[in-house]
Amino acid sequence: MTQAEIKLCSLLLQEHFGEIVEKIGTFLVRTGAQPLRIIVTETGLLLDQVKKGLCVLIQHNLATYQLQKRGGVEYEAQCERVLRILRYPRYIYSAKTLYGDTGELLVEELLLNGKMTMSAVVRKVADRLTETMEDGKTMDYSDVSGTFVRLADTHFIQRCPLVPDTPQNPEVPPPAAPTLVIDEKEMYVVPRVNLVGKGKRRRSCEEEEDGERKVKKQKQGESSEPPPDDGIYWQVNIDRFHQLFRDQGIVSAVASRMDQTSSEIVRTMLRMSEVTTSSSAPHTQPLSSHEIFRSLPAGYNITKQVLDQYLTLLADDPLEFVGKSGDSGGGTFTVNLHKALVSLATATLESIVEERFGSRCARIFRLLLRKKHLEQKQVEDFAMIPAKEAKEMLYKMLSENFVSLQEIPKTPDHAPSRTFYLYTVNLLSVARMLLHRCYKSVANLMERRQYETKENKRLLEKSQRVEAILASMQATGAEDTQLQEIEEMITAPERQQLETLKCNVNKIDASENQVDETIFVLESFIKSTMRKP
Amino acid sequence: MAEVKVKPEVSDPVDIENRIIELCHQFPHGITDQVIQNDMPHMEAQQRAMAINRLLSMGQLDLLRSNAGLLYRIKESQNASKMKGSDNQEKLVYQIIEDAGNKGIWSRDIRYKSNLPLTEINKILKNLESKKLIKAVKSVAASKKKVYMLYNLQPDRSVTGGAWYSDQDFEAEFVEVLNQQCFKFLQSKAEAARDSKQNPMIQRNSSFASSHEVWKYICELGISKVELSMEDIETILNTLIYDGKVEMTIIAAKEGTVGSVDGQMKLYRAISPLIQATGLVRTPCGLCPVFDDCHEGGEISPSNCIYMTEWLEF
Repeated sequence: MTQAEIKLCSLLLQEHFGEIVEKIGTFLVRTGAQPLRIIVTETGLLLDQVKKGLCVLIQHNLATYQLQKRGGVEYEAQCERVLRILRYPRYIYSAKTLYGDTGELLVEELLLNGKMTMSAVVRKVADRLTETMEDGKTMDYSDVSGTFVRLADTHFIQRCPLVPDTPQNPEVPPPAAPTLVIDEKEMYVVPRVNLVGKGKRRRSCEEEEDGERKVKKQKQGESSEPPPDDGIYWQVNIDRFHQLFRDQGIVSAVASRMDQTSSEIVRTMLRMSEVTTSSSAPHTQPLSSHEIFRSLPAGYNITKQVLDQYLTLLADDPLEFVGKSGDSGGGTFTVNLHKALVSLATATLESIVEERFGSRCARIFRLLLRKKHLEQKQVEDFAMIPAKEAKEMLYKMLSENFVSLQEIPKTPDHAPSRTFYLYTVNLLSVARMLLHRCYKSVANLMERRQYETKENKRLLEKSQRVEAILASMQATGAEDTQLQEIEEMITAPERQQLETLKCNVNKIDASENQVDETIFVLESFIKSTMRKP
Repeated sequence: MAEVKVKPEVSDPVDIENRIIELCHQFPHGITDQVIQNDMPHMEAQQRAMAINRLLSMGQLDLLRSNAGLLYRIKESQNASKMKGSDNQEKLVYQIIEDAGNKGIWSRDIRYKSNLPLTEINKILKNLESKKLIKAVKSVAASKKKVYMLYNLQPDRSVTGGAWYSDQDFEAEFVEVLNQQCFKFLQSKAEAARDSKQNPMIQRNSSFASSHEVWKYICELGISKVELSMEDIETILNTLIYDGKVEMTIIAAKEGTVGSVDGQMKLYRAISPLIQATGLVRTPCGLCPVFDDCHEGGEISPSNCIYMTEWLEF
């Protein structure tokens, strides 16, 4: 774990879970797997606090435990998983685009609570949706559970591992920590639960006193029977979302390089291989052009011949995203996932070089990527840049580690005047370096955001108080003049300041998400390259 | 009976020389000592040697060594007149420079070949230059180096750098202008193809332009005062590839079609970039020059970063 990653983890944990969990989490990330006692002594917290903190971490899938051979249990936090917290908004947004508001709220609830049973999450989402609807309308549970089932079918959510049902042997004491297992087939099976009901609107204050007694009676009645799917918990399947983002990246790249129709074809191919190809495969399963033709979305009525032409064009393109793997069934085609990731990562690196150093440096960078190893003189000749400028640019990139030198000695004594010096670009190491920089940038942005909020804390508190007073006065039916008086407690420049603060915080938030996109591309590239051999 | 004395013919030394010159003209590749002997058998070796030496010093004969022995060759007449008044060393240096052809030769190399000391060489070179027999050309590879070549020769491409250099200066603006012109041509071709809205194969094929077409277009534009060859245009198109604006494919073409080289033709097409500017560079941290010094609590920290302050004010 690099320093930047640990810093970012601690910032994220602090922002979302508070100080205690942050201390525990950072300690575990920094030192690896530790038993409970050591965590208590090292972090200086009380045993009770540490236990609760660990519960929170495990509930949110940020930490795991393992039964050691000696009988103790060690807890381990997963740094990578903690960094995914940054990506939660993107997951929620994707669910919204695919499954509408219901899907969005379902995924949001699951992310916020870590693990939940189906009935609990359906009930909560129905309540929330009912809040937003007009008076008198309520959200039916069946709609929500329908979306839930669809999410499970497309593998966006999955079951959590369970305690296996072994018969309890009274002589053998139960193990110190249960090992959780889950069967592959069971992961996406939705239990047959009959959820009947409608979303409840939160009652307003007036009805509170009347309704309270009734609600109490109802609660007592319900609590006697546990929900039917108790023990079956669901969590969000992050890998599936990553697959989705990768597919989106590929489709948009094809759209910008070729045209809309080609990108639609590629999207169809990727959609067909969603559940058949594992997320780490270098290419998808081969798909025949007949199948693709059948699965094209209804709006696109292009003839089979045109589709064939597009497929041939895609296969011949120097981008090599699509490859032809055979001729059966009218031609079988696959999508080269690994190559696509490499191209996307290369384009990202090139864009970073271009923005930081200028378009001429980008030219030299691309030249080195193509020709692998070049001498100083050759760089000048190929790139058609005057010698002095080319030298300056190469040295600047060298000092920032985008470019490295390879020495080839002519004589055994490595004398500098008799050695070839070749410039080269090592994609993997540049990607790693930039990934580290991304982590640090996100940490910087978060710190800046917290700083801005802290600076204006007094103002924020004041505005909150004013709002609370306004709300209570409106509820008790105050007059307009009184309301206006209260509103004027916040002066115009203060209002302006609040506006700027809100604007800034939003801007920083948005840019955190943008940097996260870069992080995703670079991480996928590194993972895919490391997996290759 | 009177003794017949065979009086050795006292041939006129000039006659001997003329005879030798005639022989040289007969055999323009050079004659050996043996040939002269055969021709004038009555001549003594000493007289022969004297005549040959005189011709050499007058600069009318060239002395060459071959595996058969020494060769004497007639020298060009106009050179012979030029060299009058020069001494042997100058002639030697001149010969070395002549041999270097149009690539020229460096002064140090002249020194090695002639074994003359540096001061002498410099004096001779200055002399020859003032007589307008040789000239110095600055090499584009190392700007301090001067190569010498005969006055009326055109310097070779490797010395002057070809079409991109004028007077040893790399013409960056010229290259830039060509770059943009080629790109605009390819871009307009691709747009025309896209707007034609035919089936995708034809669309794609018509958006390609061969290097020959681009060359013709640039020649017709007439922005270049220097004659540009197809290889020059190809180097310009290569820089466009390295800019990420153009892609190239090679197709097999029949020998004889216009623009094909060795049965292949290079086609170029304008393309748009794969992704827009990536997320990292949209934040100040991505472009910050003092990124490595920035940490919380230091002089440069996220809380007081001036770049961020400016960026937030946008």
